[in-house]
Amino acid sequence: MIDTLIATLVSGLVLGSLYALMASGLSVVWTTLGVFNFSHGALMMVSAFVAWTVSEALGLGLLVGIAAGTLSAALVGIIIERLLVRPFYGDRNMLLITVMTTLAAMIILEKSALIIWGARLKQLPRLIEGEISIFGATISAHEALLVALAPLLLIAIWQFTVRSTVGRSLRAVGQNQESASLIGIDVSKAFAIAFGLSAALAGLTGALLGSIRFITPTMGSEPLVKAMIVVIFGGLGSLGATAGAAYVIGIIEALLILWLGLYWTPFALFLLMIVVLVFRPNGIFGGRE
Amino acid sequence: MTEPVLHTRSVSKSFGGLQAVKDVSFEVREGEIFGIAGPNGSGKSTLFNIMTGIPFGVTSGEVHFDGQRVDRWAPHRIAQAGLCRTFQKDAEYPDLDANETLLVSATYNGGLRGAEATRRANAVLDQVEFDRSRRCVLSRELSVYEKKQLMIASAMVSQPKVLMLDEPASGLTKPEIARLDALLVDLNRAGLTILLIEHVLSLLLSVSQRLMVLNYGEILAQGDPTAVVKEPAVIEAYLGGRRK
Repeated sequence: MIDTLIATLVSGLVLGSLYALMASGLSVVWTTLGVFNFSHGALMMVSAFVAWTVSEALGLGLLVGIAAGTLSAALVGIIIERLLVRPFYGDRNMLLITVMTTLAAMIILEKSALIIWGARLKQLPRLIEGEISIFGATISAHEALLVALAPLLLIAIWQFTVRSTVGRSLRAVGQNQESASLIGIDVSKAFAIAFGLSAALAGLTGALLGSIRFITPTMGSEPLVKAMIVVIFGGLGSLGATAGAAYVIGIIEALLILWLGLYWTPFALFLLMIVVLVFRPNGIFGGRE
Repeated sequence: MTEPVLHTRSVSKSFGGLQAVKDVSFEVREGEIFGIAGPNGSGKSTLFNIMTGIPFGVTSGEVHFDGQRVDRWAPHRIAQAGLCRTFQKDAEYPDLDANETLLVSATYNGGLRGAEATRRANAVLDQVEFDRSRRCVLSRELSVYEKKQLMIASAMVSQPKVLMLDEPASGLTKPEIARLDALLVDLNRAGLTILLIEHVLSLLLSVSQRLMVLNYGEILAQGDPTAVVKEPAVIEAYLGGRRK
């Protein structure tokens, strides 16, 4: 029983790490632009396919593949911002319009991937071979790498937003565009940086996930939905709350899979999300209004 | 007479059929505190907006600052040239603390980096007497007076030639207004030219060397503050005709 529980918690930690990386990317875009990017999961998928093409089809190695995937996701993210988000800045229906345009981007990217890479399942080799035992529960070394990397990346993003000049400028733009532009911050550039950074994060997550799950055009949809539950649960405003919520949701999901099975878990998670929305509309860790 | 550091020539601003500012010409001399008064909706803040280009510029007329015509300049260029302003807002960046707010301004508006930006930020916070123990508190959690201090400090960090303050005394208690009065006088004595929009007439009369009163977007009177407030048109429009 204890062994099962430990194994479940460890698998929850792996899921939590994945959701933390996804949700923190969404949070960066939300806090800077006030936009919810529905193409975030598709950017993850683009990166995984590019990483596969570079490392497997071209034979340039996995590390080069992951770097190429991450960069390509960042590039596609910046293009999406420029073509599908930027034209609507200042529009009073911007939030609603960008829900539609980023959803459109998701569909375009998924269908394009189907045309370019086909429907055959693909998978990347693991960055590190072997297995690691945590309190008796065994996970692959690659999954352990994801677990270790996630908090490091989150701390790096947090430090970037708090300590660096560019990071502080992103926060300033997110809080008061008028004042930020008055003191000479290039607001358009800040938006592009936020979108690119968020997309790069999605890209890195996707490339790492490509070794654990199959790479398909819709591989980003399910993590995106889970990341949405995370941001609703934790509130979108703060990176720390979002990351904390990601681990909580990951562990809850793993426990639900153990108790209810795979079939009923999404139902229970969405029920939880509805309950949170009813009683704490700003999230469990978000402030009350 | 001292040369004007800032002056407008027949500036106007229209929103469709509504003329918010109409043919306003005035000048601010170097080293003075110039007050602007007027009832709600008289065009005071719109005048500030069109002079700084945020969020919109003039419909017609000219704004001259420090020997250059600036009414077609980008807002940040005007600010970098030394014409800085505050807004009628609660907090500029609610989720940044005082240190971070000043560092952002020092970096982008003041062109400073690293330790130099930190030094300037601290010096300006000291100058406005911002409590050292409160500098790491998020702006949204500061008191009303601290928010005003921070807003003034943030505008001052790039060492402007002229500081434009939009109703800095709103929401302050009497003792806080007295503190603000002393602070503005100190800043002015240190060489800062101040353009002050204010509803609190006692503060305006206490600190301003000259005063302009607007009504319906037009200049009603300008000149010596004590003389201006005695003009019948001002008493009628601004003070509701109760003053004798």
